[in-house]
Amino acid sequence: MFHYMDNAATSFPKPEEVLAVMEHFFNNTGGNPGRSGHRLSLKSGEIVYETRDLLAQLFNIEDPLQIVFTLNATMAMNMALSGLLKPGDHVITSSLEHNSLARPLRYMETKGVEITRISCSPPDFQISLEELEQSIQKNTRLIALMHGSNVTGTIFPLKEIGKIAKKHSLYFMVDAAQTAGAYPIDVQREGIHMLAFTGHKGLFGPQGTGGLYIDPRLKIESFIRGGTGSLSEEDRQPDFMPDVLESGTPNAMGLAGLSAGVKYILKEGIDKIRGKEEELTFFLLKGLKEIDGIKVFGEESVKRRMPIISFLVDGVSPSTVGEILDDEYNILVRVGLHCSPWAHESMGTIPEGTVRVSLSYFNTEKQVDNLIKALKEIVKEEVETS
Amino acid sequence: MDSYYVATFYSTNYALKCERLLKNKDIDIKLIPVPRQVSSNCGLAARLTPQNLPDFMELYKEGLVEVEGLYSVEQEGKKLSFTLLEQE
Repeated sequence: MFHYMDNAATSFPKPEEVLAVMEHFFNNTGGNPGRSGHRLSLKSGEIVYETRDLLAQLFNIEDPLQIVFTLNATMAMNMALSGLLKPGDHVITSSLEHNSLARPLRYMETKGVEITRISCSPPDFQISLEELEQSIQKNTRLIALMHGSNVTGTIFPLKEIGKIAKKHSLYFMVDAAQTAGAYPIDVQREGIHMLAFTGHKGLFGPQGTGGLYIDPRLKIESFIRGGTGSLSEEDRQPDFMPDVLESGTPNAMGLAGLSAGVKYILKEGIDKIRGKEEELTFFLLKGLKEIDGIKVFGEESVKRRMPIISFLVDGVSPSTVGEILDDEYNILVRVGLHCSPWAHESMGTIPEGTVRVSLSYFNTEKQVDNLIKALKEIVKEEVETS
Repeated sequence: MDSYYVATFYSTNYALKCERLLKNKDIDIKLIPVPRQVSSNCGLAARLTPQNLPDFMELYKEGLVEVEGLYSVEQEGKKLSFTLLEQE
C-alpha cells in the first residue's frame, strides 16, 4: 500500500463512477459527438453536452455553450491569451504563477505585450490589492492570475480582484487548475471573464480534459481551425461558441469521465469536500509545526489556503526527502520546482525547490499521521539520508 | 398524411441545447439527421409534433433556442414536402 499525496499534479484515486462511465462509453457509445446524426453520434454528443452543462452548474455559468473544451488548463490559457491580446496591451499577473501562464505571457512579451508582476511575499505569499490597483496603466487590458498556488497553497481573493477589474473596465482571467472542484467558484459573483480549468485534478476527470469559460460579451479569436460538424459547406471557421474555438474530434470518452467526476462533486457538495480538505490540512500543518528542523512555507490559517504544503527539511535536500518517502515509506510527494520558477523565486528556494505534499478528498488522517511519523524519523536521521 | 415540424440549427450544439431545455420542461422532441431538402449543414435537426410546437415557439421567442429555420412538413408515403415558417 502507498499513500498518494501528489494531488496538485493529478488527483488519484478518482471516484469509481469515473471509470465506469468511461468504460460504458467505450463499450456502448463510441460515436463521434455531434458529427453524424445517427444514434451513437447523437448519444456521444449528448454526453459531451451534459459535461458542459454540469460544469456550468458547478461554476454558475449561464450558457453551457460558453465553455470550450481543451486538453488542459495550459491549452485553455494559451488560447485565451493569443485570442485576446494585441501588441501594446498590458497584462497584470502575480509572482506566484505556474509556467502554464508564465511562459505564454513571456512569449506574448516578445510579440509586444507588456507584463507587470505583482509580488507575493512571505510569510503568506498573498497578493497586494493596493499594488495591483496601482499598477493599472492606460493600456492595461487584462488581469490574469491563478486562484490557488500549486506551490504555497495561497488562495487569491477573486471577488476583490474581480471588483478592481470591473472598476477599471479590465478583463479578468483566472487559472483554476488547483481549485476547480475543491473550492467554490462562481464566475458571476467573482466577475470572471475567462476561467481556465483542468479536468484531471480537483474535478476528478481523466488526464487530457479541461476547458475555458468565456464571458459571452468577450470575443476570442480562433486558436486552431478545422472541422466542427457545423456550417460544413463553409471553408471558414464558424464565429459562434464553442465551435469558433473547438475544432477536430474531442476527447469524448475523457469528457464522459469528467462528467462523472463533476457529478460526484455536485453530489457530495463542494462545502463538504472543502471541509474535509481543510481538516486534513490542519492536521498536516499542526504535525509539521511540531517537528524541529522543518520549515513550512505559506499561510498558517487553513481557511486561506489549499491543501498544498511546501516545506524544507534542515540539512536534507528536497529530492532526498522525496526519495526516502517513496522508497522507505511508500509516501508519494513531489519535490523540486513544480514548474513554477516564479513562485520559487518569491520563496527564495531556487534551484533546489521544496518538498510539496498535496492532499485530496480521498486522503485520510491516518495517512497524514504516517507522513508526520516518517518525517520525524528523517529529521532524527533514523533512516539513511546520504 | 402525416404532418410535423422540423427545426434546423447552426450547429449540433444548439440542437443539443434545445433538446435539453425542452427535456427539462418534460417535452420530448426527437433529434434527427438534418433533412437534405432544407439544409446542407451536417448534424442534427429537431423533429416536433404539433403538440410540441407552442412550447418550442415560446423558447424561441424568449431567445433561449437559436434556430436556423423552422419548417412544417407534410408526409405522404415516402414523399416529404417542406414549407418554411421561420428563418433567422
